[in-house]
Amino acid sequence: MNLKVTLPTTQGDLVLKNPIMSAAGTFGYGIEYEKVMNLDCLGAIVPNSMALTDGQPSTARRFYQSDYGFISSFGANNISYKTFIHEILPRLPYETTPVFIDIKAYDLEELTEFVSILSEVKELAGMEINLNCPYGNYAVPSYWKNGAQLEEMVRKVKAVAGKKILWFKAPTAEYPVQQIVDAVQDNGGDAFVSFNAIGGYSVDIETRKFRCGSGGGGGYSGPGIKPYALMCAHNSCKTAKIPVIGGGGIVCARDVLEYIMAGAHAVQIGSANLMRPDFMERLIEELQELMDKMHIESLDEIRGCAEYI
Amino acid sequence: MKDFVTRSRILRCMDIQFFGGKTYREFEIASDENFEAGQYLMIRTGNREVNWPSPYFIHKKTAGGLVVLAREDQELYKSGLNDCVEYWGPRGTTPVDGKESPILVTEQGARFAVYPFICGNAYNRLIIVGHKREDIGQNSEMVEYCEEIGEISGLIGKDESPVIGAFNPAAAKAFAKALSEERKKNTYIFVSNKKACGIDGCKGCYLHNDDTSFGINVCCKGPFMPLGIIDFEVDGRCFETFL
Ligand SMILES: Cc1cc2nc3c(=O)[nH]c(=O)nc-3n(C[C@H](O)[C@H](O)[C@H](O)COP(=O)(O)O)c2cc1C
Repeated sequence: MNLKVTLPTTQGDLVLKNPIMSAAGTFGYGIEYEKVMNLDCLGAIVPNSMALTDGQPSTARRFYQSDYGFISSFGANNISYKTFIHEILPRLPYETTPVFIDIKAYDLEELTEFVSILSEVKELAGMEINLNCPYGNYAVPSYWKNGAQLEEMVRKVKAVAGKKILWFKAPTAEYPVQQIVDAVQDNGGDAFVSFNAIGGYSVDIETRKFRCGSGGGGGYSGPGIKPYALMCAHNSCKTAKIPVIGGGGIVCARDVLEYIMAGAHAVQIGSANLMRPDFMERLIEELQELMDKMHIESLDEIRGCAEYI
Repeated sequence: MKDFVTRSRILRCMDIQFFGGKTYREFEIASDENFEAGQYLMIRTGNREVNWPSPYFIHKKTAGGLVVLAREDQELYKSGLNDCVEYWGPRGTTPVDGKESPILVTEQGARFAVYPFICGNAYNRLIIVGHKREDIGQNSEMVEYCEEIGEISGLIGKDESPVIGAFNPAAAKAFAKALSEERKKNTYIFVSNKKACGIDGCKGCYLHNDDTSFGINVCCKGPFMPLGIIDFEVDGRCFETFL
């Protein structure tokens, strides 16, 4: 039995040791977890989102741990890529575990400049373009909201990405799956990450205040949204010719198999990393045990096998 | 690699009631770790289907473990004898160097945060801001009361011992205002914003700071931070209120 996953890309096959990777924003920059687990056990590492320059933590309350999920509103919660490339990346096991940077940018010009810079960084396997872009630029609606703009964005980013693999990550919203997947794959995207978060709010009835975020809430993720996120993954898989990376609400190995059976190649783990820091290492072991128990030889054998009743 | 997260259990739990009549619960968690006052354990209980960890200050080491205090609004409070918990830590950094005993300044609602220093007898004065209430706790004879936070500076006087403060947000701001810039240099305050991971992973606890690249970490470097670095106007909205 093996957990290996092969993602066909425009740059050749990307082989991951297993389908488990971190989701941006929930695993620091990786090095914080050096003492917690063997980073090299992961399929891939996606550190916190990055921008060209340092951000500053949001000044509103940033999160609320609700009964079934996590509401987060972290704002420009990023260090600059320079700090990451020079001080952090050399400490990550990039030779054996591909590292993908999730990118946030203020506009298309910044986005292409950023991708072009990162395309020269040999230690990186690729970039994950966050479809919440343009980020922090409230005058311009997110590119995904306009089909032509999204296509232009994917095309321009692809044109400067050199030999890097490009993933595109769903926005924090309910989104038209087919249009977005088509725009990504038709313009050079290598993979699609099918879920980010949906909006969520919570009110403290004692203080009569919203519990986090300057606008009342933030992105809601975690086990409570798994059925919805699984639907996003499955619908993406139905229309995608490129690999789909699923995620949203995974807290155990059974959840991982659900995503794979719904068609995903690999999965991202988000808020479960905030339940216990060594979560992903344990999940990989649990996945191995579960597959053994279920006599599943490889993930290829079960990918997309779920049938409608 | 030693497991970072320890699966443990509750060896003892006991209600304690000495903070202005408020009930807290003390839990002894099986552990062979040591700690320093101001450090905390991230503890995850098995009480809910979806379990989020929370930080709990450690105030005592026993033969069998570490003792922490849970407020009524915290998940651990609902746990009982022999319940399983997972913990990682001790996390955080003590603000005391062991050479000079600090002056503790607090108010009833936030007094739990200085409790570890009281239990360790690692203080030389305890000043409570607010009206005098019945005090059943140990060392209560050493408590001084101060009606108004603005009087703090006078009460501390020329005493040069370090000061450790723990307050609700409004009082914390007033406390910072009451101290001179010089006095702030030797003063630490409990930064009460929420901590999700306790290992600098989520960046959820950071304070804003214009002078450094991307803010200041609280969960590992704090949660007691030098008062002078805190910008209450900018970060104050993130601080928690303890009733
Ligand atoms: C605390 C926190 C911070 C996050 N920050 C980012 C981010 O900066 N960029 C991003 O693309 N997604 C971010 N996300 C979304 C996650 O990457 C992930 O898509 C989401 O949490 C869904 O997975 P989950 O249900 O397993 O948590 C964040 C999520 C959390 C909980």
